[in-house]
Amino acid sequence: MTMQPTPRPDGLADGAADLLTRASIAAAIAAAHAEAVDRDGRFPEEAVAALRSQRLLGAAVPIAFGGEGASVRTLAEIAYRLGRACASSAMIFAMHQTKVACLIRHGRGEPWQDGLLRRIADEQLLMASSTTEGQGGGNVRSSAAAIEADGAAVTLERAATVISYGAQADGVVTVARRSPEAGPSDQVLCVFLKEDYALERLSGWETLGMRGTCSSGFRLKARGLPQQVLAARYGDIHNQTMTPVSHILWSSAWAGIGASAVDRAQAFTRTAMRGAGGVAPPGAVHYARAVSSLKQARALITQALDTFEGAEGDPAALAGLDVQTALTMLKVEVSELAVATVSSALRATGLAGYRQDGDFSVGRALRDILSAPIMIHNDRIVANLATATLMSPVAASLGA
Amino acid sequence: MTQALSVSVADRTMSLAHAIAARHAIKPDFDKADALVDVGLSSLDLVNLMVAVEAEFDIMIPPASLTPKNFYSIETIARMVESVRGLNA
Repeated sequence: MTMQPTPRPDGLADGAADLLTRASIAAAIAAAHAEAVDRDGRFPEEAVAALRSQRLLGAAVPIAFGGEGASVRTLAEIAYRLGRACASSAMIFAMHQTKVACLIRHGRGEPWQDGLLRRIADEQLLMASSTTEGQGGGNVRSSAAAIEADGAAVTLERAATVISYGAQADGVVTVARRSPEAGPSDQVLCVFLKEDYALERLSGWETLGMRGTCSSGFRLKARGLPQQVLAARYGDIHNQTMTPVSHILWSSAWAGIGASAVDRAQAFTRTAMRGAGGVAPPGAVHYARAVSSLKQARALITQALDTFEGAEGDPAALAGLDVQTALTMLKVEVSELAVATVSSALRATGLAGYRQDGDFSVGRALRDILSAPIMIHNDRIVANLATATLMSPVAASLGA
Repeated sequence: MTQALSVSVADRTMSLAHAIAARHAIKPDFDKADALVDVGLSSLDLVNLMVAVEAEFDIMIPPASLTPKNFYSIETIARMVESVRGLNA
């Protein structure tokens, strides 16, 4: 482990606001509690407290609103570091930042939304996301519940299959039909704060992995001001921000989980070689595979960041099929590479990795990473892509 | 006291390096200050030396210490080993 800088008494790292140093501090705290979070399926409150005290939750908010204007690239790097420490903490961070990105890019200029951004930076509010409902499964572009006008207020009642960390969040950013008369994909994004809603738990979260995300099902009954509904069309938010940012940040978290497994496979291999006079254990080739899979995943993420940054702020470029394909498939490809990485790490470590106790245990990483291909099912994404790309020419060259 | 320890760590490291070098048809002859890359040891030899050093001194070399500078010669390796041991002490 590399040496961590000593935090000052107020919890902030020495020197200027170095986001990545602060991220490493938060990650160290997350790592210390990761086993307990997983074992008890509990919210990683220590890690989230560290994200707050290190002022990472509000980091992406523009400087003008009291944040640090952190780029998606920086957020991705933070998600990677958190992923190495605690998968649930990393995923919570990724989901929160995705919603904040939607508010920053599509709510800005609306006074209530601007005020919320200031609060997110000031108070380090944690925002949850509710995009799935009842029968729809992972079909985010179809809603049942609608925003209803009630005098000067708006209300929303929504039965969501999952709201990750819904009970612990300071607010929920959710998708709904524009009005009771609107079609299923005529959607808007709206924000409700804790004081605006009541949550009724419909189902628990007793899962193989990602146990700390506490993604229970809830019925949300919310009441707020019309300004809490963003004016932008959700379709635009979805294509320009929601999909690219969530895929990049989830992928970064997954790569981090893979890295934690490779760490253990490497340590095991080196330790095993000692007792064998420098002869590599049988599983060593799998350690090499794990290294390679992780490298590929990281390369894809970096490429996606380049693509996204190149198209950022340009809706036409973002809507281009090449860009959409790359950003959409990123999630599919990295989820599968991350699973391969951790699986190889398990093969490399043999019984030592199979055990739940011990320094080389790979079990938790494996259970956590197996969520990746089904968190918005890969098959669903690929099927949609098949249709979407049927009429576009196959690349005539290696370059653009 | 530190002087004596240094000699001992360097000596032990030297015998590890000799054992690895001995696997080659031509046995390289070198001393503690020589650049290891120049004496006929390959990059794989250096990895094996690193593993042998970890076993010999019962340490896990942290990523930050895995630099070409630290693996330049027997002397630099010995110094790195002592600093890692010092961190763990």
